[in-house]
Amino acid sequence: MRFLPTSDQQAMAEAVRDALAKECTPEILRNAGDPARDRKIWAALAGLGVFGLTVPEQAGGLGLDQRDAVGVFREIGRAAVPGPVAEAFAAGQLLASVPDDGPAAGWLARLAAGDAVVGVGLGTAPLVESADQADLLILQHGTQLHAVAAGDTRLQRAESVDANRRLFTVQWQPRPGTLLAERPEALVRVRDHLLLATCAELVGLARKLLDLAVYHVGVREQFGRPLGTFQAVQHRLADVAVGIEFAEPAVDRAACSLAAGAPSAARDVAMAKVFASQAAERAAYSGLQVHGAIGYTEEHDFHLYALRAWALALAHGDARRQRQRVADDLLGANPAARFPAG
Amino acid sequence: MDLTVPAEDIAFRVEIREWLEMHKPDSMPVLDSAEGFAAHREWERTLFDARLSAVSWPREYGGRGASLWQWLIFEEEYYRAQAPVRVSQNGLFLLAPTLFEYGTPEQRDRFLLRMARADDIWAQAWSEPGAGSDLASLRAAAARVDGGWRLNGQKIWSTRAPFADWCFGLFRSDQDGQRHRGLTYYLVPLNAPGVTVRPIDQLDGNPSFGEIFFDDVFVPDTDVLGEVNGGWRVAMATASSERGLSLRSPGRFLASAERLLQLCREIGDDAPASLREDVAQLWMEADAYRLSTAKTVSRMNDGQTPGAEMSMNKIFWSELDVRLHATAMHLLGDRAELTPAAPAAPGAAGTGHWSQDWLFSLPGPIWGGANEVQRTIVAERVLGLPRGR
Repeated sequence: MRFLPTSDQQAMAEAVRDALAKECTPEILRNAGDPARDRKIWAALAGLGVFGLTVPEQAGGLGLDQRDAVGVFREIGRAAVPGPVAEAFAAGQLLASVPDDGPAAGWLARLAAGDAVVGVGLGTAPLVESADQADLLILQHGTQLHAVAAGDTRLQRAESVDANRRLFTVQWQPRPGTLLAERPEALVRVRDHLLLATCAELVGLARKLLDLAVYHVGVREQFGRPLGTFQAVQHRLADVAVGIEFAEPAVDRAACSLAAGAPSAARDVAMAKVFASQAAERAAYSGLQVHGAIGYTEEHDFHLYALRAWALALAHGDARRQRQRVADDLLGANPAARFPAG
Repeated sequence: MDLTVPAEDIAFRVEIREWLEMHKPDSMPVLDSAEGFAAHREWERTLFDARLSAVSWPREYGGRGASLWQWLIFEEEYYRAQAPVRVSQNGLFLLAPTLFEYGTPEQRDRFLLRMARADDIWAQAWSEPGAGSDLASLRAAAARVDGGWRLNGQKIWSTRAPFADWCFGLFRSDQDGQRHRGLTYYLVPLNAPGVTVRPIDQLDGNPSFGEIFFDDVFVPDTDVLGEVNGGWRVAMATASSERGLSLRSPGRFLASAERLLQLCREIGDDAPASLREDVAQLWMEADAYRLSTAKTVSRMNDGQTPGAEMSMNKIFWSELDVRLHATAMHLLGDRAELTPAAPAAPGAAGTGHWSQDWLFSLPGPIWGGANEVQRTIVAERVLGLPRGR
């Protein structure tokens, strides 16, 4: 039992962090709306094997598991990487769990290599990230999942407050030939992995926002001294730190639960989203407050990360909805046992 | 990251669970009374005889050399079983880690086994009438004399002091030393000539606090813990134990959270939906504390020493504890205020229990260093913000 990243997991996360420090800088993020820019960032990630991280080796992936992915997605969040990267992770998990002969035949290997962009839309009227750039869309219909060629859908852009989110509504028709999976477990698998990657991104975003705030209050002076010497400011940021400190283990545990196939995995993922969303929302809001007016501008980098944090905190089920799911399990007839056992 | 529980730890949990089921007393008198102290001391001896009073200590001091993981398991099972409050906890959880780190071999041999067997019950002697959160302003004095020291001054808010045998605390040994400098950590028997203890009733009616007066109390050199005039550093090791892992293991909050779930189920549809959400949130926070502790233990097993980040722990568990018990009180509504003595208490076991535990949770954000102080420590020493004072 050792609940810390292994040296390999650390090295992988550091490699991603180093690459993104060059390929996904705030200056690059300011150039929103350019699909070519996004593809260049994705190519850098593909070069590190990020899209094939948990794809089996026989399909061209690295054959790692969810525990290896969380550190990588923390870095992806920290850099506010645009595009359907969490979606690719979830899609890979799904495609690896269904026979490779249906409507998605051959797509897993292309996804793993970074040669294909796969979008994911769950729920009844989903907002699908970068659907216009996607080669394949995985879409929910009732309890079914369908794999639909992007060309067979009608897309309409749905602008987000975060200019780096490229959202679309999708009109499409389910057909027998597009049916990918109809077991509810498949839907749960996609949903939980999309949530897990989003949670890890939120923790990374929260740390980035806290770093920005700590820097700002260290250099900005008012009343003749740095803002960071004022107790009201100190305590606000201490609370941000506490929020992150206790969200991170919840996210890491959710990865362990999914990797182990624990009966509590769905609840653990929901719990992770509660904590990750709360931590990121607090980091964004408190960060905005201590930045003062400059934080409420496009001139300062803060907004690039804060807007993403708010968007992802609300996406795929916000903290309140996820808490409701946890409550339903805990107070229901058969709550899942804790993982790990105890 | 590996959360696989080894077979020997599963076996350990089963052993502890079965032992507690067999040996746990059905009822105990209130701790802070002569009768309560005797009964709780007796229970500590029962634990000691099974090598369960300090499982993680080496065998020579009465422990069984259990791993930190197993110690956490012991704690989880102990609170799960609602076994008696540990009368020895100041010694076991606060002084002992400090003795292991700073004590001489002679001190360890003299104190640890007796502590594990509850022969000596320890009280803390930190706060003074003029030194609460600002501990470094303390004034109780130690003067050099032949073979030792003479202590003079007053300590207060000393939990367990009215019935304890010994106390540990800081005194100013160098009158020219400012603030954190010139302090020494002393171990003092409460029956020493010149020591007077005055009990103080707490808000729950029990005399758990003591005020200790030192009037020319002689302490030999052998009862100085750590370096003379280097007491602050030693005391911070004790404080780190108080804020973090040692005194407040996750087991306590996990057990309370499970009881809160049970209470919410019993109340059923009478509970507003918003309270159900609070119950889920608090259960998750207890679980998050457990997971965070698993990280801390993993770091300790890697050879790292917990530092200022323990202040985040203290903020988290103490405020979780207050909200958890406040939620229970809201679930119970107008019956919540009843004590176990009330004949009309519905579901008397649960109700009586909650009101006492709720009161106990309230000072959590104060003791062990007020949370306002902890937030400043987090800001300045974890985040590296510029110093505010």
